[in-house]
Amino acid sequence: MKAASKDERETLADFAERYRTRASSRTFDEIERAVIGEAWGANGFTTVDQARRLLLKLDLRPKRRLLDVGSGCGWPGLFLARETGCDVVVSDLPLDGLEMANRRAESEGLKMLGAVASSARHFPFAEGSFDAIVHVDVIC
Amino acid sequence: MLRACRRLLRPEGQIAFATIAIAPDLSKKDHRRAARMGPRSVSSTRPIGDLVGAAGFEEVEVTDVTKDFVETLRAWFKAFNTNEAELRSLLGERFDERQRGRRDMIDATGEGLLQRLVVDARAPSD
Repeated sequence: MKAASKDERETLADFAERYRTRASSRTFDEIERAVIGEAWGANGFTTVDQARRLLLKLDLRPKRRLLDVGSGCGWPGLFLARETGCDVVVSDLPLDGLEMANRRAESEGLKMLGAVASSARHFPFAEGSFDAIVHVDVIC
Repeated sequence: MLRACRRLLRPEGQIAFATIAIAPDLSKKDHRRAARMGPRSVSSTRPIGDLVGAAGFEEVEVTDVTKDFVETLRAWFKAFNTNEAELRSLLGERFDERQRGRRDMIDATGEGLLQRLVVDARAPSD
């Protein structure tokens, strides 16, 4: 992995702290279910209904390969894989989130091809590797 | 990042994303306010559809979901206040930081400074 920028390092530290705090109380999950519709360790603004709207745009189905950029703990990439049967790769910088995504994929029996620690500036994938890409609340 | 995504997609592959953007056609003063009130790194002056097109995507569609965004922001804000005692003990000063951030974004959208957009597009066929 190439060196992270200052902004990426700050984001990394912020999210690492968020994941640690989050693991200390189930209240965060309860709030997320009330606000988003499910608990995925997300703290953004994409609800389950909005994730389903993204799904309709992506033509996902079994054997299709989806990349979730800035996936955090796997939202919405793992959710979309669960809903459609597609294969998914999740990518983000904070390792804590990727580890949580790994555990979630295992526990739900989802076909996750990989959890990749990478910034969006330095993806370690070959050209044309994916059928679809999703990201939410990652600034372009 | 959009160019990197374009490179990773197969021909006719699809991208869909939700993002927060500064509203178009703001004065310089309001643009600065929007950047300050929005999430970190929100600062582009170009419309998101133009950025996606410039990255090589086709069939770009942009849907404004700001109304849903405000509802979600309000729901986060209310849920945190409902659980304030526990969350304050866990988060300390960050409780106030997070709530202030949400309040700023609620105000900024109300003033027309920020938008939340869902964008979808397709990679070219060759």
